Amino acid sequence: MPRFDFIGNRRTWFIVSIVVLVVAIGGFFLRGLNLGIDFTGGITYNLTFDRPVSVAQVRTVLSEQHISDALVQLVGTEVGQTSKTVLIETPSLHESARYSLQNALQQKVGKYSITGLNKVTGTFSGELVRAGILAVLIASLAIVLYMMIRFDLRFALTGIAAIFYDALVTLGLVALIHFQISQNIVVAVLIIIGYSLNDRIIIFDRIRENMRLRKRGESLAELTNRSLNQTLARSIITAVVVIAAMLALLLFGGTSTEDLSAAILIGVTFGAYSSILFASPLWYIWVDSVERATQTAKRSPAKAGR
Amino acid sequence: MRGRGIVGLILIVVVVVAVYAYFTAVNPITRYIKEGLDLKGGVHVVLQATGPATLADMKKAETIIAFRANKFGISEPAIQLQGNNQIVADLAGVKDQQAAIKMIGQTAQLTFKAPNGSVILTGKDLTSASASLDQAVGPIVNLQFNAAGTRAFAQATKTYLNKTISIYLDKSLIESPTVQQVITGGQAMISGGFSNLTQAQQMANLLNSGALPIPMHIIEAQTVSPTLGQDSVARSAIAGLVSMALIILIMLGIYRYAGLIADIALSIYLIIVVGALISFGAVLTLPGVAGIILSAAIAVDANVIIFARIRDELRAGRTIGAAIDHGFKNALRAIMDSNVSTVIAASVLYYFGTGEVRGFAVTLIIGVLASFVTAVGVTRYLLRLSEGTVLVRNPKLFLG
Repeated sequence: MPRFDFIGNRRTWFIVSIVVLVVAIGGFFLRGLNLGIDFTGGITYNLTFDRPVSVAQVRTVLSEQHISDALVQLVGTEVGQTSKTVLIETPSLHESARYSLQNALQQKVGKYSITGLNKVTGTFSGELVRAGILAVLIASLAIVLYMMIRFDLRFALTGIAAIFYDALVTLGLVALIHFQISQNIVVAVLIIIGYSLNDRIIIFDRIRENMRLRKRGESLAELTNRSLNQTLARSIITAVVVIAAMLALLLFGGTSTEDLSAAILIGVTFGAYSSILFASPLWYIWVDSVERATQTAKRSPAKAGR
Repeated sequence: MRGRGIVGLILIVVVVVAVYAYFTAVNPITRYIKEGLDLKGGVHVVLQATGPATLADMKKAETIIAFRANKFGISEPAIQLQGNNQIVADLAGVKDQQAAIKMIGQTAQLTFKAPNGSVILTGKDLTSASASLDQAVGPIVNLQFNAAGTRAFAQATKTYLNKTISIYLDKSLIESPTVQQVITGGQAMISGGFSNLTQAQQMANLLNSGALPIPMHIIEAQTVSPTLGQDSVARSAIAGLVSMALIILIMLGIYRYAGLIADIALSIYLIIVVGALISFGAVLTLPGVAGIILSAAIAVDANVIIFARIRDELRAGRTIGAAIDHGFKNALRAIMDSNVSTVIAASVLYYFGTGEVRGFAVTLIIGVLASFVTAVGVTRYLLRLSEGTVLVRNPKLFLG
């Protein structure tokens, strides 16, 4: 069994945790999430030209039409410098602007047929996200209740705090790295919360077990350290397996699921970190202060009686 | 005893491999999986009641729209109420956005009007409508009225003999036939304006589904392209296989024989999850896939926890048999607590969540149950089968 002093170094780790959180929140508010077309609304064209065209040709037309923030991508099986099939994502356009763009493309780039036209109205911004967040909050409440029954209030509250920490840090870092996100991010956050919950419970279970069989004279810090070291191999192996699987999805999965696997990768890494170095020390501080208080309370009447 | 155990184990491996081979090469399982709007592409429509609407109206409209979508040939339409006056319809696999919108969004109130404009009867007086091909006039829709409709129609054809009766669908005039005889049998036909039988069939479907109880208008319609575009489906499949292979290799590398057992359990897990999804007729969406990924991670974790516990017990000096028993027993509580709280959270998400989140919740619940059965039950059974063999007796081979 390894013997790392996680609790002894808790101040250092709290500073690390807080710095990460501050950086993440800073990223969230200063840089903001790079919202894709799912959130902002816009139009996706899938055009098939009758001869291969280059990204530059299409971009020239777009800038002539004063359309900024457009995404131009060549698609197809053999993508080189040119391709017949082009994917264009533009922000919302008025009908007139759309027709003018379509005409300009026809005249300056070449004849094409529209194989796909997807108007997105930014549905994801409003009600759905609010409903989703509400559902997650109620689910968290249910988790807290369950953990209060099976564990106790301290495990429940520190556990849920650390789950939210993971979700916040992930969103913040996603904003900081600034890759474009689609509605997949909702899915990623759900996975991260689920993974985080599992991780918290496994480690808290070991602390709970050791608390029941607590050796006489073993300090709370020793006990917590022992629990974390006992579960360390499992924490690392599980994290490595999941991270390896997500890396494979990120590297081989293609652009449409890139944001999903990248966000999960960040979340799972922080989930493994925060179970050991954030949630458990947090629990320790709380329980330790309670234990100290009861000890002082026990001692005080004795003093008075002396 | 020892021999029988190993034979059983090999048999299970052979069956699992055979199942995988059959459902990938011979009879691809993808044929049976219903893909949702996000994976398959299709049309997403949001309808909103034009005026005030009661909950009963909205529920009725929802049923009617679902009926129409089914009639339109959409195998798995997802129709849902949203807020208090909106209906969201996700029509996976639909290519023709205009036709789909026209079909599900129309009020479809049929009215027969007298020459003076008064209403003779409406769609409510219909019992059924059907399409057929008439030799003389081409595609027609046959109408059968109920008792009240039959009486009203007989009365009207008597009153307006040799005059024209106008037939409207919503506000548009379909045709104005001249009444040539008194019709007492409660039957009528519409022959105007169908260019082919399909159109007549669609009209019949619309009439059969009944009129929407309240007029609704489309506030949003979009053609959704599949999240995983055609060429990235192959890439995602490869990515899935690579990550599966990685998990299998890592588990083998770390836990040797026990890792192999965990890999078999994980393979069975996947069979159960996919089988359950198909038999429940669940629609697979990207969030659904995410639920499967998360529960797979939970399944792997359960085995890692169990093996770590068995290692602890072995280090504490227990015999292999006792170590396996105690390892499982000690690991079980943590796994149970984790699984139960995940299922509780997923149930809450299902109850309070909307489409996206619900897909995730469903596969997560199925996945966690399957992961419990396989990562705990199957793993334990397989270890028992081979308990007497050198694979388990030799600690290096057993747990690495």
